[in-house]
Amino acid sequence: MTTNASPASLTEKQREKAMKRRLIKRDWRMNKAVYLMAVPVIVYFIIFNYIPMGGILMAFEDYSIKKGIFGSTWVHFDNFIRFFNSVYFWRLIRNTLLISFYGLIFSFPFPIIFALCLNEIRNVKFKKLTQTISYMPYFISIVVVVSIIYDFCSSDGALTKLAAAFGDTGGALIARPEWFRTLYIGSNIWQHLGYNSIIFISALAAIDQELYEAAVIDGASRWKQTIYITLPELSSTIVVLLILRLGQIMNVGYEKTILMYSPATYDTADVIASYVYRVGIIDADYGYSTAINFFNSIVNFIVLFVANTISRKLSETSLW
Amino acid sequence: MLKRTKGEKIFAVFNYIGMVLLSLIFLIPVWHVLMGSLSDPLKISAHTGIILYPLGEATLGGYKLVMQNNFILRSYANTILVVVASTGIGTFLTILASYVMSVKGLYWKKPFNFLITFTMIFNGGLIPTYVVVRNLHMMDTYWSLIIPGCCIAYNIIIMRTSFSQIPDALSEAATIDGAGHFRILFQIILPVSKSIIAVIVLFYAIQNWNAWFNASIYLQNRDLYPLQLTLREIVLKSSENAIIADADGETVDIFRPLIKYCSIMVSIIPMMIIYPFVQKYFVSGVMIGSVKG
Amino acid sequence: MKVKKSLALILTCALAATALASCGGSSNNSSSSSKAEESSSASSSEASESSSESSTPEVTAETVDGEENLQTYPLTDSPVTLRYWYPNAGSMAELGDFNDSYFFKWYEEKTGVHIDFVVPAAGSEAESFQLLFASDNMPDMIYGYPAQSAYSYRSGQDKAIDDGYFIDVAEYLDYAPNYSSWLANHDDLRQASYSDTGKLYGMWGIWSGMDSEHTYADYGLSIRKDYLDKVGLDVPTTYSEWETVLTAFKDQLGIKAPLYTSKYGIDTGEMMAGYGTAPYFYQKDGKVQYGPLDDSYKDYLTLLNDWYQKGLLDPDFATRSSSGVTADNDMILNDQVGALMDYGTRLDNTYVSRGASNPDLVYVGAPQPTKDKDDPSYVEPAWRDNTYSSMLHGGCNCISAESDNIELAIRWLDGFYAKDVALNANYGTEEYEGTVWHEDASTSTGRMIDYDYRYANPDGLSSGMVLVQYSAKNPPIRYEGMQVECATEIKQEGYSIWKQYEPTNTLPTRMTMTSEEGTESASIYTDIETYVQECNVKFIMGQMSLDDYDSYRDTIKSMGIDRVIELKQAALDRYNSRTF
Repeated sequence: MTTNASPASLTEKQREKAMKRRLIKRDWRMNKAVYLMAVPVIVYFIIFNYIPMGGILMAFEDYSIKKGIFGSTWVHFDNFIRFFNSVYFWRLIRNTLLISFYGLIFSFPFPIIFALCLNEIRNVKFKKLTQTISYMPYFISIVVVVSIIYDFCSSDGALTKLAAAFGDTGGALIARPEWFRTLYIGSNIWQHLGYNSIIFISALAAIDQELYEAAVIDGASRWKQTIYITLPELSSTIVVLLILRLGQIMNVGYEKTILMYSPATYDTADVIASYVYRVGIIDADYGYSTAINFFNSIVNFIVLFVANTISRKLSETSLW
Repeated sequence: MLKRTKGEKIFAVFNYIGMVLLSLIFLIPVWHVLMGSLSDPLKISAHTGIILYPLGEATLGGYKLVMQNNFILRSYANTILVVVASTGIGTFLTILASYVMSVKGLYWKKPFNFLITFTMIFNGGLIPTYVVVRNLHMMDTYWSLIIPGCCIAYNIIIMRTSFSQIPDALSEAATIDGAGHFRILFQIILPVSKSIIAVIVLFYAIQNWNAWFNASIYLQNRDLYPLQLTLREIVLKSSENAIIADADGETVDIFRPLIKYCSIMVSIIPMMIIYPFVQKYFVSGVMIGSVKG
Repeated sequence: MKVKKSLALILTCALAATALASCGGSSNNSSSSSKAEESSSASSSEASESSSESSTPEVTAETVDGEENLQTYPLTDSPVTLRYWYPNAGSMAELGDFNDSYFFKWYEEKTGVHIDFVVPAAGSEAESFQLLFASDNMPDMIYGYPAQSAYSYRSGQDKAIDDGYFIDVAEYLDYAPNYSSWLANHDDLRQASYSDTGKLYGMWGIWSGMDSEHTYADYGLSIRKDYLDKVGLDVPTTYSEWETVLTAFKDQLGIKAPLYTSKYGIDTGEMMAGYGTAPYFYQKDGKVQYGPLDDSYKDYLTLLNDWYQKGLLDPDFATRSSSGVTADNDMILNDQVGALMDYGTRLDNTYVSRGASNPDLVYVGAPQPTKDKDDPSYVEPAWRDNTYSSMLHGGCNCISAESDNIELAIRWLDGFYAKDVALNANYGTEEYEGTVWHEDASTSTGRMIDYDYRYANPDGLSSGMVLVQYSAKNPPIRYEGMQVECATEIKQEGYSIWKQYEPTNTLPTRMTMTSEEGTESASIYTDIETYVQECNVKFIMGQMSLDDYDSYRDTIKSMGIDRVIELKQAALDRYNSRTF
């Protein structure tokens, strides 16, 4: 308001500051209502997301719920060291990475293939019906899915009998560590195939039809069209989803694992998240459990960051 | 219609066959449960493999037992309550957050965006969240099922994307007419965003309908159990612990295998009925979500 | 402390009168009360010297073993609700709410206290118990099983009191005259109930009528008699006979699970006692041992592995949800189980009344198998669950230190230690004399459960349902003879087969650790425990080769098992040197 009073005495910086202040004031005047709307959202996120992040301090404590975060004994990195020295450390890392990695390899391409195949179906009614059926498993809860897995993979279950027909003699699949990943990932594919394909089906529909018409004139077969038009058009969708999946590489959910595993299958089934649950909830070792979880989040964060950077360099597609 | 080559024709045939097989794979497990729920309970545990038709004489007896079971009915009611409340609160917060994020030229928008999107890649974890819920004295109340996790950054991003696609002219015209932000949101934005709201409601509703884990760690009181936790008790944890189940106190239930199938059916039937009608919203939600957030 | 001491002296004087008054009872009764007089007058004469020493608790009482109920009822004039953590979901299937039980209705009317039962989900009791400590809303009373690590505070009983979760009941005994009368009367009970530092973790469940030899055994190996008859074999006694029998079950009768085991493969010691080892910690000549470190433990695993390969074990055992005694019931009801660990009440043809379709189904008790007599490694089995070999029955009611009604909770629980309430809690209230129970002078309590009413209920109630409908499940005082007295001949035989073993190998349930020891032991042992459980299953299923047993043992050692044994040894030594 007093820019012309003594312009010489005001440095560039001060002027900027004044500008900024004015901007903030005007913004407040105009958008008071918006900030009012933001309040409940901010409160919610702070309470349920950021305060728990602060709770990560527990990882450095011999946390006692009675004494609270500020009253518990500080143990520095003891919890982390205990984890690194644990007999389970390498097994947990291995299982987490392998389930994730195999999950990525096997469950990522299926929705794309399914979408491509479905796209070739000419009969609209059949196509719609197939698509609708394919979404169905997505609406079934994990508890139910796991109970069906148990039903099918016990010693009398259909899948065990099927495996036996192919010469398998080991009995109930659900109790065998060598089968756990297959069942875990297989049931994931079953449950999410339809849902995950939606995005590709829609992306396919969005491809400019003129491209295909031009290709047909050039005499390209359907197969060639797929290779040279469809896949390149889908690539950016695929890359974004792939980065997102990589960012979750250390996040194997515990909800399904703890319903599905048993001591017999810990060897391949026990992942960091399920161990965090066992140590934290069942053994009530809160500090240790938080430390393991924190370690996991850090690794995750690094993987996501690296994947995103690589992708930005290579394909100019990135999350941020 | 373009002429197809021989290879393409062969492919088409296999493609149709493949799709039919795939559909069967999706359907069979549910069919198995459905037929199991109509079977004679004593024949179920003796049976091996997939149940393709009701074993023994088809009966609705299992459903009758489920309908008479107060514990199942009560948890059904709890689930409905939690789904309605949590979805309502979550959707409301999501709408507010999305609107804030879509207002043009907001000075503090970046920090606000960061506050929300950062939660997508980093979280405090199981135990710290548990401690927060405890300190809020939410344990053993419906609130512990309704509030934590009711609003999710991912869904905010989806809705924000949708809001930002609404032509600015609409809200600008309203501003000139003297409308405040609340009026713009509720009278202009929301009426044209019915389908995205349906999507978000659907996302939250499914999440809440299928949730069991929070209930398992936050609740001691059985009267508050949601359906999925009850299901878990019936279906996956059928026997009791050694010393807990002493000598005589335990009731033996020959109908257990039947009740297992029936309660599964009862829990999935609502979703099975609703989803074919709402799937188009679903598809559009996934699409909007895929637009880079 | 001082106030309490003088109070103790007064009460001791009063005891003499009560003891005289109850002389009219049986001779057994009067002898025990004079014993009580001796012990308590002895403790009171010592009292002046050792008053400051907390580790020699003294208890006095006006009555003997709760013969007379010293609480005055109603306990409260204004209605009060107490919350009670009561892990008995399995019994709730038909009842819905324990407040619908006729006993609890009666007791509520008597005491004026309403109980809000907090019942954790079946199968999740252990998690739920641990979560109590994290919850901000701990129930007033908590029914736990401190003998099992899953149902005790992670770092031990002393620590639970030191951390401010539970009260030290020893400080509140004035409100528990009936419970005190038991403690005062039984030296071994006091030895077992107090921790080394003189604390009372809770109000301990007691077997009433337990004689000095501790001869009760509630569960053991059970086998299908009708199957044995069909294949023409006798009840097996050696491991080789067991194998013959199980093989016959499988080959001739096509039984799916000739021998049922829980998901851990090994969790009770009865089946393996003939190998001279135990599933976890045990003692030999006063030294604490850890079973998995024994060569004989490996031998037993080798046997189970062999049986598993031959199909003599349940092929799905690793995924069974039950973890201990009794099988998944629908397997038994469908004739899929040949032998298992089971409760005495389920012997005979009780499963038929529980819904089994095969009317011939009969289980009989079997002795613990031994090796053949000429085997150089032959040992006499010496294993019996310690919760059935002392006056403590394993259950324990703890009281939350944060409760607003600590005294009331204690008085409510204390009522159960008086004979009038205890009888009703076990047998059903007076009202149901002639239906649920009837008088019988030959029994120690004068009451007897009506066998037919329980096992062939005219209203079609299951036997478990009858129990929870008319009485309380697992009440603090339980009558040892009660299950046996009303039992059929086959059941009686089963009980007498199971009780022949001396529990010399089991560790006393009630040896305790200090807070520090408990914390250290817990942080080491929780990992070891899961590791061992997991490997047991893998050895049995052949996923891990028994050739690797030595390296497996080294792993357990590297995880610190020796330190845990050391801590347990210290606790055992202290327990043995407790003087009362």
